[in-house]
Amino acid sequence: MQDNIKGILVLTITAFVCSLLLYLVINLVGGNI
Amino acid sequence: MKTIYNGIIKENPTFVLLLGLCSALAVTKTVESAYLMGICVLVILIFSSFVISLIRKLVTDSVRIPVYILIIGTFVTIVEVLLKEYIPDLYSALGIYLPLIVVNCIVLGRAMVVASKENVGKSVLDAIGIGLGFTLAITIIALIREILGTNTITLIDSISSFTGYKAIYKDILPSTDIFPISIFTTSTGAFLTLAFLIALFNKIKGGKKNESN
Amino acid sequence: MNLISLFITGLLTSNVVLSKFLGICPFIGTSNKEKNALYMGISVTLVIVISSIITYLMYTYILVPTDTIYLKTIMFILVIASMVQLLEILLKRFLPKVHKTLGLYLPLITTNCAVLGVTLLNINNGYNFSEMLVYSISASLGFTLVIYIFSTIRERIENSDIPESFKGTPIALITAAIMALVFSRFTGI
Repeated sequence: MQDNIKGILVLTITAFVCSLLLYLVINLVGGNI
Repeated sequence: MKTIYNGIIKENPTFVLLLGLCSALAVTKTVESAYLMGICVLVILIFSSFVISLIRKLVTDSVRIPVYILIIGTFVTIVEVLLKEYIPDLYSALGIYLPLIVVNCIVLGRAMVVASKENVGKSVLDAIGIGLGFTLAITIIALIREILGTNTITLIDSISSFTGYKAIYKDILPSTDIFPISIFTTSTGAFLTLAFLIALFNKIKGGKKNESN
Repeated sequence: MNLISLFITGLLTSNVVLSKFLGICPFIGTSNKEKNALYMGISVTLVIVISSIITYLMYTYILVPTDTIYLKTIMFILVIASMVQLLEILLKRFLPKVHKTLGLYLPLITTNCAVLGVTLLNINNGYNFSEMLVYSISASLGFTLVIYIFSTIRERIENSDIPESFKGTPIALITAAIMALVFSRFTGI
């Protein structure tokens, strides 16, 4: 169970970081894709 | 250094591991689309291998696939967005095969086999080797297909807006009645080219094995 | 666009495997048994059609209105991965024999270029809902058709005399080349 919680945490953080990264790149390029 | 050599020759993704064949066949109509696709895959490989290797100890088995897909997908999307904005001609030339890099067995496969196990340095070197091997392989395929199929070599066309000039070489070999053989521009020709190249590679490998015996 | 001609296009003239080179990996790597090929084809068909519907709806009603089209690639592949996972669970529960036969190839459907490819093509080609349905069904049936024909040929090839360097993949690709040639003749319809 401990393992699964850790896994989901990593997953959520990864998703968050990825979205952030994408958001930054999109706005760098002018915000309209 | 040996790792890079490994990726180019011994474990060449196209001719030996037989991965990423979808792209190998689809973008090899012109030399340009081939080497540019190769560079895209190389870049994505390097970045995703780097990140995946970095967090490899944190990722538990159960969430491995979705996490890796997220990371690879993010980098693919970044490349997509950048290309669409700055080099739109290339973006439309690669078509759906650009986002398909996400499911390209090379990237995901390497992530599973190498980046998730080795340290960052080794993973990145492997990524460079595999990426270069892939680029080399599909460029060779494209060279054959384009010369035999349309008797041209297109080096700079889609990215001409970026570089400011074009570089298309026509009539490499003298045209005759039977040449160029347009079948090479079709899917049939693509399959045939790949088939013979793999067979050639096998023959060379088989020959080397006999030498060392 | 005429739905019937769209169906023929997806199935034959623009066959996903022979014309668009999607789904080559499992195509070359599938085992030679006809039954496996059929199971694989049907599984892929299910995944493609259901994923197409879900991704299409997601695109139309979520991504477009919120101006987040760039999430297309990631969203689609995550949907596909979930569908494959779901299929695996369902098969294990209700058809364990099929699950065992397909074995490792089942999770590999996620990386099958054809699945993501068809879902992306639905969008890129600007299909409406019914066109999307027709195309995804015909494309996946096209995949199944090709993989099945291929498996029937392959077993016979393995038993014949082939030069050493051509064994395995090269001869498979040459077979694909001939099949592609045959299918390309369908453009007249």
